[in-house]
Amino acid sequence: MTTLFKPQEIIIEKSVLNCDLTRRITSRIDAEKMIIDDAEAFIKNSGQPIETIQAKSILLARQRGPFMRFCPGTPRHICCLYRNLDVVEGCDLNCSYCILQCYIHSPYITIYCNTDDMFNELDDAFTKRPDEFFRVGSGELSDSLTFDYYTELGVDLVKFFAPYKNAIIELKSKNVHVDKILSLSHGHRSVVSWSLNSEFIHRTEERETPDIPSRIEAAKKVQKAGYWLGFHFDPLIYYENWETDYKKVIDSLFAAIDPQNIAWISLGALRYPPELDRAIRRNHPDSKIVLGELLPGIDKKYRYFRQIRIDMFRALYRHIRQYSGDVFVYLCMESDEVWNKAFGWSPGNSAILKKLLDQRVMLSE
Amino acid sequence: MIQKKFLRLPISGIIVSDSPFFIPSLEPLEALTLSLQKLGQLTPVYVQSYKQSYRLVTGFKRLDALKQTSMEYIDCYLLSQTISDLALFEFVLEENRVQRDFNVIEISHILARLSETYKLPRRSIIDNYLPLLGLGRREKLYQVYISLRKLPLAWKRALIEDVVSPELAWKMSKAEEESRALFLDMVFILRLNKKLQKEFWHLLRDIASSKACRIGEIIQQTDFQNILHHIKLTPQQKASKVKDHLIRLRYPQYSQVQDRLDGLLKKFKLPPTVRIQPSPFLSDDIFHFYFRAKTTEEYIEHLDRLNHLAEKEKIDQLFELVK
Repeated sequence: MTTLFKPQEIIIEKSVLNCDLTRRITSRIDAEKMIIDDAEAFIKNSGQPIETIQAKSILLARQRGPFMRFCPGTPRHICCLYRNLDVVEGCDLNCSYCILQCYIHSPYITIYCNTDDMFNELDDAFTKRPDEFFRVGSGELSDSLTFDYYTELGVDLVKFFAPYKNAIIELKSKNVHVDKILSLSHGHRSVVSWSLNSEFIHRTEERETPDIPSRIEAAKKVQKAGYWLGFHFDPLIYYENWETDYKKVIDSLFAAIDPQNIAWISLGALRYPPELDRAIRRNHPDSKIVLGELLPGIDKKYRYFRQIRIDMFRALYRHIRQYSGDVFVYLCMESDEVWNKAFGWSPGNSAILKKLLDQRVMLSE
Repeated sequence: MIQKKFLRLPISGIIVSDSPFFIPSLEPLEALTLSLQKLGQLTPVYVQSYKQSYRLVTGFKRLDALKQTSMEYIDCYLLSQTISDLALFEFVLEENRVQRDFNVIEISHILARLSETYKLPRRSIIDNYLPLLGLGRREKLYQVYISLRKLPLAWKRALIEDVVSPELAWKMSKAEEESRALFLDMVFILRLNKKLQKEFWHLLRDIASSKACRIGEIIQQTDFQNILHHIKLTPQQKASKVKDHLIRLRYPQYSQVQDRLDGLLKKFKLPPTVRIQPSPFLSDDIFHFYFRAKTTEEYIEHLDRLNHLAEKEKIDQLFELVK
């Protein structure tokens, strides 16, 4: 169990002072408060270095753009066409490989408190496009549950999505703050998912996160509450004992979780843009992950040598299949060729992958 | 305007020890000594009254050069005693700067002087003095330049001669002395430009980290040394071989496949007008076939050659490698 994040200061943009979420957060956190006129100008003029995401303060601000956006994907790779919900930016877990180290250009953990606007935007999209299925996740620019102790955003999202037939929310986390969602009527419109890694990688690269058994234990509780579950072995990291170690985690997972309750399992190998290589070396000088056989691809991102990726995916896919023949396993951001070589089949394109994932969690009429 | 008074003083009477104005320099004195011998002292140095004598403010190199001639007196301007040491140091910087740019080691000593002798805050040095020294107002530049004065002499000389970049020297300063020395020897032997120095340094750093050894140990390996000291290879050829060697160590699984591929392509004995190329870093299972022809006959000849390889299942072997 990790300690709860305790911000030193809460900076509040004037325009969200009266939002419910602002009140909820400020009533639960005992920290210095500062009111500012404009969050963007404040960040720009703060002069604080943004090289590290180890933020000490929380910024409560207004989301000016849309909350829901398509995952940017990567050219020539099959993407699941996920929609990211940009309601929290930043994380307290400080994993060495975290992409937020170069995505987020603010030294603060930003929580967008105008959630009424967010729910209106989502409702508008879901009702105006009833034939479209929306798989939405709040775990791309933050960890979906890590601040839930203060924000209860997970609770709000589960409740909001419950009545919609054409949408589902995925709360993706490494954390174990699940107690508040256990008693909710979720209507099977929420997937609670965990990012999993080997015990070794947890000890060396995810040191500030709850350990793997605790995550699986939290998943067990959520399973009991009837939620869909998701598991993301991402990023898979190649090291001497990777195969034995990752297989052990799969063994523990299936010892605790009924495959029937799993919406999906994803596999994704460590990959990152050149800026992240620099950020990892600067922010995590003891990390060894940058020493892997990572080579630049056509999109300039570094990935493990193709054969290494295929070997990892193939071995873990086969191991999962020993436990369940029909649990849906997919690859995150891989080519058609790698899919075929690792799994023996491929969705062929992003649209089909999206359809397959949507079908996993669509409610039958 | 600084008030000054001309004096001619005995060289032996000038105090130079523990001077707060001294900027160590590796610039040679020969040319200055020759000029003094031939023309005499053209520009007076600056001094200030100090403990019943005179301390030197500017002109440390001129004084050193004069000591190597038979001259006994030095032309000086006497500066007022009321000027603060920091104001005088700024005057020293200005006086030097109008004559020539400071070299990187001098800049390093100047930054250290501002920080350690004059106790100026780092931010003030970055904002007010880095631009004066021809550098941008960046924290990183301050960090890099202030560290350079602690480097071994060979590295300082390489920096002054612009053989290596300050940033690389700074990064290397974290390595142990033997590794630094061996790396610098390699730079000179291979005549590496700065881009290649950086590339080789990154490769060596990562190989050393993953093998838990020192950079120097890698350079001292027999294979490495054989390339460095090969008598028939040019520096460029050696550099290319060293790079291949480092890539093999850094990316062993990729290099193994690439080596087998290179071996196979060599056996095909293709003319320079035909080329078979995999995707960069074998990132997929696609090969690109290129050929150029001036005539229909040449075009047919190339196709025949490739078809012949395919019939003999040689092309299959290629695809098998990246399967």
